Amino acid sequence: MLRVTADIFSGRPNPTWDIQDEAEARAVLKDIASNRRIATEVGGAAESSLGLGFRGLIVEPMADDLGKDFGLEGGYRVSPSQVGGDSKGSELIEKLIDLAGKSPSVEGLEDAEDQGASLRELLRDQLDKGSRTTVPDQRGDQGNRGTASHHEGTEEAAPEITCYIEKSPYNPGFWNNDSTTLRNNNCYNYASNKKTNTFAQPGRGAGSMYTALTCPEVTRASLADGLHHRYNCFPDSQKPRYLVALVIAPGPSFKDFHWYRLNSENFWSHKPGGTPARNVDNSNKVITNPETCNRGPYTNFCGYFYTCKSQKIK
Amino acid sequence: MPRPSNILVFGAFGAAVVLGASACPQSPSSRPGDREMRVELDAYSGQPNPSWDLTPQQAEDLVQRLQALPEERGGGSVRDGLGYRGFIVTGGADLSGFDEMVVSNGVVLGRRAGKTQKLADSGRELEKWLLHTGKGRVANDLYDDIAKDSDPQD
Repeated sequence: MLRVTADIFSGRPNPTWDIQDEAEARAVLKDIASNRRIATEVGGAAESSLGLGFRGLIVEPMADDLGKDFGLEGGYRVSPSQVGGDSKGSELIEKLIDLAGKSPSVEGLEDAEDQGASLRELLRDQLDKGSRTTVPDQRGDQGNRGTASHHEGTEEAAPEITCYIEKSPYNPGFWNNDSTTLRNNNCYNYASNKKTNTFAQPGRGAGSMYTALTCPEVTRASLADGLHHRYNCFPDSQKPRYLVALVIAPGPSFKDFHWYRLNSENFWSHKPGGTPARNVDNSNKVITNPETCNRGPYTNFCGYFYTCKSQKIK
Repeated sequence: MPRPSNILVFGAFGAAVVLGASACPQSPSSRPGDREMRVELDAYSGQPNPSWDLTPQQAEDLVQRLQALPEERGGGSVRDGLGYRGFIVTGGADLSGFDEMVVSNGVVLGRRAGKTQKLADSGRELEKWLLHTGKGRVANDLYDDIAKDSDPQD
């Protein structure tokens, strides 16, 4: 058996739950043993700089032979700050949170009706808030995309403007580990960071879906859902405001749309249809600029947009 | 030398694909006429992929074709990224075998509960056959493009 503690509270006991299933417990330990960079030993030197908020999940074998089989002794902390953009670490955190949701009993959440589900929601919320950063997005700033764009009408005469946007760490495990999530969420879901399980279509949420697969028409539909053109700022009340990019495969035989989202690691990631989220292009290179990366048949670059909290997506 | 794959059985209500297993008794509901297999042309990112059901005869044909495939022992892998990737074959909600099969780039990948098994689709014959079952269901110009992609000699 493995005991997991969510190190989250300061003034009251942290929630804990047990992974009783031997196979699941071993799978977790194997993940840690195979990817030692994603976990730190509890009580080790790294423990001195944890601070407040969600400090991670502590995994502790509850039998003397379990950890030993994997060369592990004592407890191990898997924290969002330690994991950063490491996909293995993100996947392990997602897996542990999912297991919390399945746990029939959680210590430290006595008031909740469905303890497992409540804990899962709490941890997801903390994970999201804790790892997301707000940054300025300034017209003329090259840092967010690598090269200047000719698609935004941002020639020299354009007035200076600074909007604030959110960036989240790359977390493909959330989209890839569950087959229902993987198959039923597309590039628009991923770029918006909103799982709907409906293979969301621009404009459908607003009742005004695109009528042609062209830049102007998919742009119109996306704006109807509530997105803004880049540099048309959203207020703080609309957090999270992600920077996304729209491209089109113009045909004549292959017509489609596709979206990318900027992550806090300053690369762009995307989810090609029902296939796994990734941060590389069709040449297998990390995407630092969606305008110039290898996009296969999606040769038309339409422009950049901001998503928002009130976005209608369906 | 590659050996033929073990038995592949499409079971109750659809493609219950059992790869690498010994012969499995067929339930009454797994008669060829009952198979409802769905083929999805995996190409799009934003729009839903085109998909269609196989006829009972095509489903039977598919089973036979799968049974003849050898295991993939090389480093072949399915296509990913943007653009045409291949086909996904599923058999409805009541799968007792693999959840789905991906046929792409000379490889057939059976998936179930996080486990996979790879078969070799030499010459991409199965991929071409699946495309052929979509004739009339996939837009003609897209069909022709993919036909060229999967068989550049044509």
